[in-house]
Amino acid sequence: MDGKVLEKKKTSFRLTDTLILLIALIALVLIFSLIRREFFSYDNISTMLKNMVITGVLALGLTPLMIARGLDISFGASISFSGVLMAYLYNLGIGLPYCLIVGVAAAVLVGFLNGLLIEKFDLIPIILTLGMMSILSALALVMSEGRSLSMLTDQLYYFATRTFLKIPISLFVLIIFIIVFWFILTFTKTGRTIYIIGANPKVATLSGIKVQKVRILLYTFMGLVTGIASIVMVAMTGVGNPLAGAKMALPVLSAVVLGGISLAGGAGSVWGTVIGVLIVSVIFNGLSVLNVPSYFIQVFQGLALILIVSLYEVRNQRAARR
Amino acid sequence: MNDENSNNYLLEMKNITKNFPGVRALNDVSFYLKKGEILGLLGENGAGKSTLIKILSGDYSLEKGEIYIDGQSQVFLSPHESISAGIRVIYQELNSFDSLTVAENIFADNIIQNKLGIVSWKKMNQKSKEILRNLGSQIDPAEYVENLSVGGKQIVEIAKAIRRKAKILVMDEPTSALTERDVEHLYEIIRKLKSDGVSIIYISHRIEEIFEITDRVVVLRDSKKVGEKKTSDTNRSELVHMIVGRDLSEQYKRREIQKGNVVFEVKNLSYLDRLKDISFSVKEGEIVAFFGLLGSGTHTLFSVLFGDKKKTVGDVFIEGKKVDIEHPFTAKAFRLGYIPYDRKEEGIALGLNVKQNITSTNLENIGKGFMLDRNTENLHANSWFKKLNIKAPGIDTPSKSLSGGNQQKVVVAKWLEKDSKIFLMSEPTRGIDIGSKAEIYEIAEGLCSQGAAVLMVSGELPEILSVSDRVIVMKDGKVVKEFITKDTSQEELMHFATA
Repeated sequence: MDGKVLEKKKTSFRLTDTLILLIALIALVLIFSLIRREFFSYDNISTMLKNMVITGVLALGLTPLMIARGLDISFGASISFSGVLMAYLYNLGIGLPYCLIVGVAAAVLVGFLNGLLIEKFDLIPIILTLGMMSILSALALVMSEGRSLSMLTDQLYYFATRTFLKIPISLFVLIIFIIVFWFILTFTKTGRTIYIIGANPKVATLSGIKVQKVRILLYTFMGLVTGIASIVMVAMTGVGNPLAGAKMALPVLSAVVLGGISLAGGAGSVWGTVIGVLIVSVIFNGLSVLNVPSYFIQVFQGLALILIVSLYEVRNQRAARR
Repeated sequence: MNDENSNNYLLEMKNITKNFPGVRALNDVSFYLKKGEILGLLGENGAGKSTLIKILSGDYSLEKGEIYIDGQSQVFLSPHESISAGIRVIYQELNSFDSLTVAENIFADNIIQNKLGIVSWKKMNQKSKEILRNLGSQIDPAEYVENLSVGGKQIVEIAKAIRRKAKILVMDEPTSALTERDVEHLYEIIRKLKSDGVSIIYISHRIEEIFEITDRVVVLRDSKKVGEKKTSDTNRSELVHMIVGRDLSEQYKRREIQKGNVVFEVKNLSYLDRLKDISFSVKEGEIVAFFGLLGSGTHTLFSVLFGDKKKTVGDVFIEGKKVDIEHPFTAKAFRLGYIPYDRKEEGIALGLNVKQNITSTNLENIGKGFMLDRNTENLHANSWFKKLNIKAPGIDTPSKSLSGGNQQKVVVAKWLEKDSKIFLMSEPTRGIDIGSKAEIYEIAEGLCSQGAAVLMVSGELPEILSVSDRVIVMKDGKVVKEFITKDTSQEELMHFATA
């Protein structure tokens, strides 16, 4: 056996994936900066990063869930619902902290229900959360009677507009999330358990891991992340908008998939997701700076997604054939 | 090898070499196959058989070497081209479409249509029937494949190959999941194909089969060809010697182990209508084998005992205490360890590396609190890696690149890591090579000498007779009879399993 083992430099696949993405990201930034100088200005970059917070937080929440072969597409509707709920309560004269707690609690409950129903009845995640999405968006519209409910408070305004060391305060939320998720996935037993489940749920179960319990926990956690994203959304817009999250699914899912998370589970990392989010944001912002109409931007986002996913697939197939 | 005239060769593979990252999978291997010949391809797992076959089937690209079919040079770029050249591989894990009918499977890539583009069932069933009857099979073409036995599915695969005018049929461990009767039937079919001029490459770990069915054998070891003989010119011990590179006498010999108290007892256990009123007990230091044909319930019994399926009624006692095992998590806590039948789907996570698999059962003890301690993990994994003599570059090697035998050792290591005491082993040596088999037996015996108990499902009677202390024969979900191994024989066990 020893004779067969040829000396060869070890390269981790995940690292090369992340490197490719990083190069793509830098290339995009360079191209946009060359075409339009103001792309690389402080104002533009700080706007872009601020707009990235919600996408980023949601993509991070999806990362462990999708590694463990779960999926949630109801987060957009859940953001709308929680936002409307918070604004509705606030307009009834209820104190801000209570409004926020109830809004987050609602999103957590939605996440928990998603997980419970999917795991206990062995449902297909995309179908169940599609149903949940439909219910929540309708409820948000009913509660708000189709209008945006205003929710302007000093505290939220401060959070959305102030900077610390020239960095938007809201961006710290994202940074904290990145660190927390990276830490969990890399250094904790829970993180390892998530990767084991993703690699093969049946093997995980037969190794004595409570797969259902872990997944329900991850769905619930996704709910918590969604609730927090909802607060950020309300803070930034000053309203509880029943359509606020309606277009979130595309950029968030694109970012996650770009980052190297496979729908088949088992693979992916926080850094991949972070770069995926950056790429999606750079494309959106860069094209906006170039005055491309927003519908066309969505065309480009869709194209970028298809292109990168195809590249992954081609590479995987080549690796399998060798 | 009387005629060296290569014009007689239907297939010739010359100087085939294939490298994977870090491993040379094939090293300058050459062999030939004549028309109507049955060639046995032998070798331990990891010897290079699968790689050779995958080059022939077009799944792997040809890196160095030449392939000739009917004297024509071939470069297979795709599985499709390989099929067009008349090569069909029937894999151990059959690739049939279970939800379709037999006829649809046989004609899967070429559904017969009438002029309007509508499926012509009558014609398809008729033709399928002809092919099947020609093979001596009574399978109904309109039957759904999921309702067939493993043997039946295999016949459907063969029929499919025949329909596509296969000239060379590769059969990878065709008998590993078959009952004795199905094996006999398969032999008849193979002989029929031979007389029709089809050439067959027959891969098997069971040496008896090689003598039963093949004309010639090629043996691979460590990626090289180490032997080529006419089957009639060789014998069992010579083949084993070629395969493992050592003599039969060096292989597994059983030791006498002191038995202790009863550690595991099952009383009147039933599961739906698949297990009925099962009772038995196992002592410390004992290896108890469960034998039964396909559908006898042996595998179901193990997954119920381990909590993967929930028992309907009955009691389980561990060290005299009644326990309720409703999830593998509970089973693990009661020091049960499980080596499932389907290694690649249930035993080992192929996407993880060796150490991640080994510690997957015992994360609670790898570091304090929530934190995973990498040093502890490496220490634990390395210790089992060495103790079980797992052959791989290291504990960070992807499990996917290990041979079957070494993968199985990783599965065993998972439960040693968890300090299990009662081991449920479902066909622990299925599809693994002779050398690794002996090592697995030695591990099981070593466990028993430290007071563990081993329950083992096996379909191989020689294995049962050489390894176990007692045998429990099952049929139709019931225990038929229990034997002391040294007082019984293959014939007697088979008699009770089929009677």
